[in-house]
Amino acid sequence: MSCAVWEFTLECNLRCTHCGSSAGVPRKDELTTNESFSVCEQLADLGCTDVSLMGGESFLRSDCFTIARSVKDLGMNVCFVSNGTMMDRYIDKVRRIEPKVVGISLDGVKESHEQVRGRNTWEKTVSAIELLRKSDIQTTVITTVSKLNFKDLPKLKEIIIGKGVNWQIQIAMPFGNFQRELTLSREEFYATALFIAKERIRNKFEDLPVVGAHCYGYYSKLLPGCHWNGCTAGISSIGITSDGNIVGCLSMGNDRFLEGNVRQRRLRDIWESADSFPYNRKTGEMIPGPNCTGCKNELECGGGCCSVSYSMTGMFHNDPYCFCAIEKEMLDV
Amino acid sequence: MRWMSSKLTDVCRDLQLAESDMREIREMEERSRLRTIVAGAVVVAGSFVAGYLISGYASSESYPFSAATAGPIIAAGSWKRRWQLGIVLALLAFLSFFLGAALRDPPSFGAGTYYEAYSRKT
Repeated sequence: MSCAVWEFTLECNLRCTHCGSSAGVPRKDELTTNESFSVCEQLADLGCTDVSLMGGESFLRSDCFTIARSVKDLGMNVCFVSNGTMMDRYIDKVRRIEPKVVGISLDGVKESHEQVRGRNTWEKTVSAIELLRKSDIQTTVITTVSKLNFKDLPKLKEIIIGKGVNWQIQIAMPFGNFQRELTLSREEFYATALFIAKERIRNKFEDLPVVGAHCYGYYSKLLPGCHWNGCTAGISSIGITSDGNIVGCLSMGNDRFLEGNVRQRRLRDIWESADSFPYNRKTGEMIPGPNCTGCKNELECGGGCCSVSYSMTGMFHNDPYCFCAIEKEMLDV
Repeated sequence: MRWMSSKLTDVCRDLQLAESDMREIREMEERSRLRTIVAGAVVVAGSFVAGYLISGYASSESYPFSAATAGPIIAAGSWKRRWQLGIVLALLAFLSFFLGAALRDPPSFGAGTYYEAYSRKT
């Protein structure tokens, strides 16, 4: 296991329209500080190298930095994902933890960002990015695109270029708060990928490292730098909810995909169980959906991002956002 | 953009993507593919020739070490051995070429986590 993404609390000060976990109030029975320490130890025992604390808004938990310190003391890297609106209050604590990177969600120019995240959030988020960079903390701007904001990408680039940040672009998926009709069409999805490719050509990687997230990247004939080795959920990464449930990926919040709870079973037992994460581990039993049937990349690809595939089509191994399929349909390459 | 569906072309305009950008992306990918093939062929062939020549030199009278110190493959000097060494070096070059290429160019897509950009940057 290389990476654990931990929903540290579901409590959040924002109510974003695309929030996949419908964050706001904490879960009924979130892990205590001592239980969280135990999770840290178990992650270290499994050889995990990177622990990403997110929420909700992880800084709202009073023991956030205590647990983050424990992660560091156990020899793992800490990463935070935050909406950035309270960074001025926490920047000193964040700096002391020396995180590997802090991810800050910025979804567009002021108008569309605030349409998604609420009023008076844009300036605070932009300030947070500047604050982090002044503190010499590696920062990734995370932009989740949907019909609401994808046209903002060129303007957003002008805002963040030269700030010394990384930029990750990912797509919003129809679960939690997000409405299905606002998801990108396949044309819009592919156009955002072309945008990423163009920016990679125009800018040096050091100036603005733009990457498409796990939801981008299946066997393009046209787009450069397109590598995909299959979904990592349950293979090299794991998701932990704030009440101790284990999933392959936090974007797979459906109860059907819970593999166990750290209050009932040791994390190692869950991770090493032959029955866990069957959608990615039992590849021999993989049945490709209609979008992937007959594709020559099917075995290596596994049908794309499991979360996207399931949320969009109700089945695994059937990701409709696939460069390979889109190019066949829309391009003459 | 005749090679794109009209609907995709329209959406590209929304993102300020001009036809020249598309052409540039397309040409870049083609050039990159060609470069990889040519560079790979040069590296592999060069390594084979180097292995072949080294093996020949090692078996010649001017080679200053004994067969025992040079090792059995290099010192043997037969045609068969020279070919073997050439092939082994060519295979090593082939592997290191692709490993180097993979490390050199950070992928643009498919980052597993949001901080991979940073990891790859460093």
